[in-house]
Amino acid sequence: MFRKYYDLHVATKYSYGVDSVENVVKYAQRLGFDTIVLLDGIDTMETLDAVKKDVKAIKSDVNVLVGVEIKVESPGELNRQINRFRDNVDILAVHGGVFEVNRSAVENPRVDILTHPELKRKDSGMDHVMMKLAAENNVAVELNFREYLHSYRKIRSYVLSHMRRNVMLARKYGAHVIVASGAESVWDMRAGRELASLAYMCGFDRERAVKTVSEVPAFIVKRTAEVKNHTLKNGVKVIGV
Amino acid sequence: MKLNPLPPSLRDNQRYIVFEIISKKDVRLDNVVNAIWSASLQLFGEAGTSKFKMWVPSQLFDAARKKAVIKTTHDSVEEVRAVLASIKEIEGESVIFYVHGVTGTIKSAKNKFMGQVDLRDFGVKG
Repeated sequence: MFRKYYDLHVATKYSYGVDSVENVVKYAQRLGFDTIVLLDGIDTMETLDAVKKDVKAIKSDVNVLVGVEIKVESPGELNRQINRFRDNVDILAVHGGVFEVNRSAVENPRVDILTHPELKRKDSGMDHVMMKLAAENNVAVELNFREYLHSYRKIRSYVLSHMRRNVMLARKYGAHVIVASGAESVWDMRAGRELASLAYMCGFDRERAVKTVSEVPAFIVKRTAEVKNHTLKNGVKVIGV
Repeated sequence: MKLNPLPPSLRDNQRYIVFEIISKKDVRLDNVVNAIWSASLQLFGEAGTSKFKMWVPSQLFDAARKKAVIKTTHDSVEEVRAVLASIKEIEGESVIFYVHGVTGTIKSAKNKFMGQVDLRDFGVKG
């Protein structure tokens, strides 16, 4: 059986990326992905509609989902943006890095992913209390491959040690960890198994590392679709049928 | 005096990682090897890299399809994969290293991933 690989964070030219949707999907197919999520830092509905239109026009073996990465400076603004976008996108992520935003993102069960909580920080951006909340509210913590790829020497070693700390806490409290490329251009993209090597370096064993790019993202995508189609309510877990 | 070859039970278990270089231009093998070594030294340092026992056999480099094989020990496959993933560019050109698979012998690496069929398997001599 072939494993299906997911990349839940790829940017296009609609936000900080440089490549068109078509090009990104072409490379995703080349690298053997099953599903990718175009996670752009969009702030208007018109741009979101433009992305959706582009995605509809593409015929490919890769499943392409549309998400949004909300970038705000304060928790109040975050809640407003979540209310605005939640029902219109497949995956809702929050651009991490600011402590207050990280905190209110993991408190909110309507958020799917908290991207790079350690971005531009001198600490890992998450403590044990926040990780416990992330586990309760099903907010996945992302290890961003781009952050690791584009840093070097001292900065890269700091990035890795912060990620390692987040992984340690996530394993303790059972929070979901995913690895995503966070690609700005197609040259930042890597195949699923290569992304998993980052998780391996951050303290997962080999099997768990591979799950961060296959089973865990698959669960997130499936669960979000269920909530969106109103077959499952937030905060409810299906134990058995 | 030459060293005696080690008995098989004392040799390292090797793995062969078959990878492809995705880039717009053609690449030369020596540039690829340099990029791998410098990435490995940057990521794991000299002591870490010494454990990998990396070797890129030049006769297995397929210049047309930009495929090559890197040999390593069986317990450092993940680390070498991380090294390959961390390479951004060769000679100023952006590249993606895409690993096709890992095998235990050169023969199966050729058969499965390089598209080179060993005719001796079909009884052809030579």
